Amino acid sequence: MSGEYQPEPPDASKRYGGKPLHVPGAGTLGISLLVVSLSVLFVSSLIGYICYWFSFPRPVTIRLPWGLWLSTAVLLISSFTIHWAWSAIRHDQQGMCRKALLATLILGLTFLGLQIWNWTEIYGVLQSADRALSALNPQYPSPIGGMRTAHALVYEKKALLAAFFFFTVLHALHVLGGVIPLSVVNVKARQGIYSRNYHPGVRYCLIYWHFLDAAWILILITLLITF
Amino acid sequence: MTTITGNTMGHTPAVAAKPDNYLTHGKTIGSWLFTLDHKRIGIMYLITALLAFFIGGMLAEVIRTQLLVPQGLIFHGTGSVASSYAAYRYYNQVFTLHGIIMVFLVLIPIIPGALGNFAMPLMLGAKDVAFPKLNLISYYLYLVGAILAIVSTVLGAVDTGWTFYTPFSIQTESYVVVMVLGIFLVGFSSIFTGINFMVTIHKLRPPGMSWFRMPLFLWAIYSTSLIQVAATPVVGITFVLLMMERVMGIGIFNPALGGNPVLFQEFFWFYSHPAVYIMILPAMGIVSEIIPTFSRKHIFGYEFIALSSLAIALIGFLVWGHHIFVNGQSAELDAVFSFLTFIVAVPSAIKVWNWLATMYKGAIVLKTPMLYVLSFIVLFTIGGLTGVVLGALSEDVVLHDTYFVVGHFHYVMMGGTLIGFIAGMHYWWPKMFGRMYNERIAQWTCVVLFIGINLTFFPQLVVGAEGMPRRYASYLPVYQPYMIASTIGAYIQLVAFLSMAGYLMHSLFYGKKAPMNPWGGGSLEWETASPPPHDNFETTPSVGDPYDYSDLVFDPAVNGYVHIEKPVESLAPVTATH
Repeated sequence: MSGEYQPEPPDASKRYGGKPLHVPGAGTLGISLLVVSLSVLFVSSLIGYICYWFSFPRPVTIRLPWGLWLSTAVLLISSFTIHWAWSAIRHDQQGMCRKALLATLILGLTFLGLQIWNWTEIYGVLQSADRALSALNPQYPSPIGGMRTAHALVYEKKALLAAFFFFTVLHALHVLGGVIPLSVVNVKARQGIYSRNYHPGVRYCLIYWHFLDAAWILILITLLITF
Repeated sequence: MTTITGNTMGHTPAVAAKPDNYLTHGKTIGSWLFTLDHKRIGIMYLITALLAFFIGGMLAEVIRTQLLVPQGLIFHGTGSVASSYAAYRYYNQVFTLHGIIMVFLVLIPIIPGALGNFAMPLMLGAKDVAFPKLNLISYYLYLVGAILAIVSTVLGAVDTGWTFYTPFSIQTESYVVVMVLGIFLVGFSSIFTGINFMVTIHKLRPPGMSWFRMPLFLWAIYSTSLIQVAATPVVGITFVLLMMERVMGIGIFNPALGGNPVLFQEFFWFYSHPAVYIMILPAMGIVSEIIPTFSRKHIFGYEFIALSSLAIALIGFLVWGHHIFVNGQSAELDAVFSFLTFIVAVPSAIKVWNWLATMYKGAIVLKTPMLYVLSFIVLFTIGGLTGVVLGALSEDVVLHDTYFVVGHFHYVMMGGTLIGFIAGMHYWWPKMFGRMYNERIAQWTCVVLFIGINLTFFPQLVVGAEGMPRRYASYLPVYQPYMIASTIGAYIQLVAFLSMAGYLMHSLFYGKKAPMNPWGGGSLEWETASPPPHDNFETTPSVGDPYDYSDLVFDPAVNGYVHIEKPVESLAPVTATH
């Protein structure tokens, strides 16, 4: 994705406080390094979770809400639309780029909405686990001699649910962190700032959106295997 | 000298009656608080980190004073066991805060944040880092994190040790969440600084400065940034999980809920061992700059020093398991981690041998930065070799959690990172503030500090080998002579640091005006005025070999080094390829 063009701002000669406004290629490298850093975040926590899951003596199973498939589809489509926006602006098709960017933004917000719906579903399961726990007697397991089986099962169930919330919320926060700059890029596209040779915002959103997609696929696969 | 047309970013020649520099460019408080100038941000980091160092250092003196007598001089009970517990908890808080402040607020940010920010763009001949606004955001994240850490201390100081090991960090009734949140923000700052510096080195090198013609400090900063970008997210997620564990009880680290406390240690050390290299690599970079300058001789083995930085950064990711040899790791994993730990000593040794070879037959000038560098080599070698001792499995089982470990990492952290930082601060001080400090007092201070550090930490190695455990508020009377020696050493260090603060402050107001190039350094930061103008360079500097000193001679008229014309045959222009 590099080397095809040098993004130049329209007014490269203009300086801000004696400093150049724009270092060619710096933004792309910066966003790529940020994506590397965030990938380490997701991959390491997934590895940690898998290690933890393997320590369960008899893993419990929970049915994942079917809304997850819907949100996955929405996120995948949004990855296509942002790619569409990028290739449109590279061919100087301003109108197409604006439409695709707007579609991506709407799909991103839809994804967040669907995730909230999924959380309410899973929250119901968590509450039933809590009720099951309070029905058990004695309420707290003895710290010496390990946990009793019934307790252990409920705790494992709760741990899995916590993992579900942890990963989906973590990912949703990163989607939110992408939706905000995407809105800015939408506005800028409407102002007609971007052109064939200058569209850094679209490019950064593209890189970040692909990362969000890959991270979500990894999370979904891990959840499918362990639930 | 190979002359290449320097950076093409252009400049506006400042035509002013009084030379303007970055310190006088804008005098309001706002011009400092909202500055995008890398030099000012570097100075802000310097001040903040030195304030944190002062607090951490005072806590260290409290620790050493407590350990003067076996039952504890400051915190001790009134006879009953319960009163002893209550009193010793304060001691736990003191050493925890000492560790947290020194590691997260001083050692990790001080060299990249202060010296890296100040010197790196100058060494590149650039006007600023790649993302000046991100740089300022990094500083404020660091500042807010540091303030949160202090706030948590006021609310209820953490008593877990700086490692926050579970399950105690889940149970303790102190403000772990606030403290951890503060460190989380400092971690963000670290990641952003790393990204910023990596992009700067990739994209802002001037034409003619290929990777292998960069000053070695930049290689060190680059390797450090690599670790910051790739390791810090792991500690971020660890601390998020720890906060969730405390607030919501998710049970991943809590054995009472079926969690695994060793998993926390794996996560924590996956960051915190590479973090040791975040601390030491830039210090090694400073040493690689100072040694050739003060030996008046080209650096020996440039490629080896440069690539060993990268090697340390990469191998450093694979050795975290040596912190948990005795905490329930399988024997096979122990053996692998032990082997990898030995391997990581190799690139460090490569550096030390190349430094020695650079000094060999050099015309060594024993100015203050060079004296600190010589101390660095001695102290870091002791620290590094005791690390190899600890890397051996059978020895680690005996020495784990004893004062031997404390002595080892203080030799590395204090004798390595901190002395390296002080060397760099003395090296770039004339460039930062345009003033020379009192050389004579500075040299005596260095000697006193060297004696103090050895007197503090060498007895700790011995007493640890004899079996004294770390983190205890009281001890058996048989260890008392060592503890007294160590405490005297700590007071000697205090005297040295106060003296340093004194002569550096004095130099700001009464020091002699610094010349452009007081030490005869060959890298680009010496090609501009001291202190540098707001735009860094009046004229575009030309890129040459940063370790070529053959055309630099001392000129008594300016009390600094100046370039001379070289013999005609070497002036033939060479076309740059990079």
